[in-house]
Amino acid sequence: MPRSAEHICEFAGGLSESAGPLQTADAQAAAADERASANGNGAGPASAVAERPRTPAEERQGFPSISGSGGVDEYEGIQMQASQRTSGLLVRVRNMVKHFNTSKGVFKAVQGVDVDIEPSSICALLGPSGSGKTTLLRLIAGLEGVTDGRIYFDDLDATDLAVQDRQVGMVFQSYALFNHKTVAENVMFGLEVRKLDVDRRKRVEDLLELVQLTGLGDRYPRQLSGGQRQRVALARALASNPKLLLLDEPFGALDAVVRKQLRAGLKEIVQTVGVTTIIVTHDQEEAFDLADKVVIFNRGFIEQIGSPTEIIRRPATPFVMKFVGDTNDVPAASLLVRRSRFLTSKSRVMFRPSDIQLFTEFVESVDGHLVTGATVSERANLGWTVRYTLRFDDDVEVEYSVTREQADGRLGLDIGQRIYLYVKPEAMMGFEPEDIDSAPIL
Amino acid sequence: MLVLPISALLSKASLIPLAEFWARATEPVALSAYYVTFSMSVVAALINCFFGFILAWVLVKFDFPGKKWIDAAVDLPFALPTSVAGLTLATVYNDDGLIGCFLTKLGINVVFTRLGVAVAMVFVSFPFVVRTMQPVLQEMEREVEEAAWSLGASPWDTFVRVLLPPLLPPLLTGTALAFSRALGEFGSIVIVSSNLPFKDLIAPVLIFQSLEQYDFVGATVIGTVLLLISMVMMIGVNYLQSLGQKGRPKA
Repeated sequence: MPRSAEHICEFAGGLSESAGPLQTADAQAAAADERASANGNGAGPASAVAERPRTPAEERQGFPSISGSGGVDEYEGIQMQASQRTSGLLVRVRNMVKHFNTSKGVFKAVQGVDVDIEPSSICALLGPSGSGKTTLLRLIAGLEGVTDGRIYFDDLDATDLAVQDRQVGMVFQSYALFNHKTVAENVMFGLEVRKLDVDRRKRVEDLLELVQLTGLGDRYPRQLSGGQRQRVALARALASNPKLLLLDEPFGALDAVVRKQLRAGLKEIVQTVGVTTIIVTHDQEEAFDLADKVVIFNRGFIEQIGSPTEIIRRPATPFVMKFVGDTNDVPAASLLVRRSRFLTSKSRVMFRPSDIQLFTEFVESVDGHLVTGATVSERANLGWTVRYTLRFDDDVEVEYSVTREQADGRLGLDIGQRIYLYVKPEAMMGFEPEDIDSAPIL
Repeated sequence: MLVLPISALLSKASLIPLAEFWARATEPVALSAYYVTFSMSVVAALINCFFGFILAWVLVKFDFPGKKWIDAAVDLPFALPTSVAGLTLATVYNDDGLIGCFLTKLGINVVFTRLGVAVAMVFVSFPFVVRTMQPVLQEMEREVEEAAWSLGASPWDTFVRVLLPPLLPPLLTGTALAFSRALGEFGSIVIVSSNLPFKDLIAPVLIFQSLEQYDFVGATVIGTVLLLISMVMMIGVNYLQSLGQKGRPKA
């Protein structure tokens, strides 16, 4: 959308240069880091945080840019050229704890979490429901008060800042549009209540163009499709030019086709605007496609932080291994594990079906790996893939999938057929059943 | 069911010569009765509008012990025969009554005054606003409120600009219903008020008194006037509601 890009760049710069009472949070941040490191779970060395090079935005303004009082002296706008663009916020979460008092007892939603989210990057919080990812997002938005821990926006301690003063854009799962206002009025709302001194009509037009809803400004939300409403919510969140965009399951209520379209659009938009983006999702494909960094949650703890590739290639914990792909789960004492010479103190072992090396003819060993004999016991037709269940002589079963093409050709197996296979010990991971449990702890 | 009695009343009224109709309709006693009825109904409707809104809000947005009981108690005026309601009010607001003894010390008399008429009207029409508001409030997403906050709106801005506008139509409906209920109240008011002309006599009681004196013409005339005024007001409220809905798509 090059044309809208030019429009929007006529606004200049960041949201605020207010001179509110600002506390520099370096000292506190460093202290928090030391505490975290001492616990042995620090997300990074304290010095790395303290000596972070100042962003261009900070250098221009001289000090951090979120106002404590919410006063906005000068409104600039979305910058399209990377060199002039207001950089997104660096968000640092330190030792975050959030407990909810429920009628059934204390629910520990978040239990000591440290995350850094780099300026202008997209970070996905991924996990099963009840894992604390949405709670963390709401804590960052200021919609929940923390039980313990700190949140820093650049160098500002934002932990106790009111939600109105955090100047984050938020897109809710239900979109939370104002149904009695038109699309244009929805988008304009943030500009009005913040009393920003801009050409509001023009700004709204530009934003609607950015999200490809030009000409729909006079409609009411109920007259739009789900995907269109989602984009209105995005435009509204971006209206007052936030440095941090928070998305709570943004595509959760949409069908698969619309989801994919909007995903591509979203990535383009947030990269154009240059805003730091945190997206909560339970859809792995979405997380891996959109994000520069994926944070995997379970039961209020972080299981792994890393790039999508890292997480797929090197799952750090049994939970991540199980969560991000298909796994076979066998007892540690089974024939296959013993013949693979995989040693573990845990009671169970898992590996990916794709790591199975299968032979239809008997061989004693291949490249030093002993093969194990098994019988094909079941064949499930899943459309473009065919899934076989293989039963070993000790009655342990594993699954093995091939594409339709392979199944029709060389790798086609018949029920009852004897086959031979091995799995490299490097591909195996020992675990206890409770390691992969995702039921929330109450 | 609806049209027949109304048209019967109107046809009976149409038999009365216009001059006589006008003379009977504008008798000082009748005028005063209309005034008391409508002014007290308006007062009762406004009180219900305000407190009904607050109660509905509290019942939907907050959790507290005994909430279920209060929620159930809201329907009590519907379930109670109005004469029982009148009796209860008369007892409670009596000079020696539970509340009455305090009010008497302050020099406020409720029973046998216009205030008593208003209190009885508030009592019998109380559930309307609460019951029309509750489903709309329940449907309202918490996220809408949070979205307004995150866009920088203060709690007051959020209430006035985001939460209140969609609530106005049901509030108006509830208030209009409460108003019409108050207008038609007879059973409790006949007990609570002294029913003296020019003091606290209301139009429905005046009709009853006319009938007791076999003054069918007088009763018909006053009844017709009441009917016409209520219809005009109902049409007015509907018009106001349609103004509020203008340009908005139907849900």
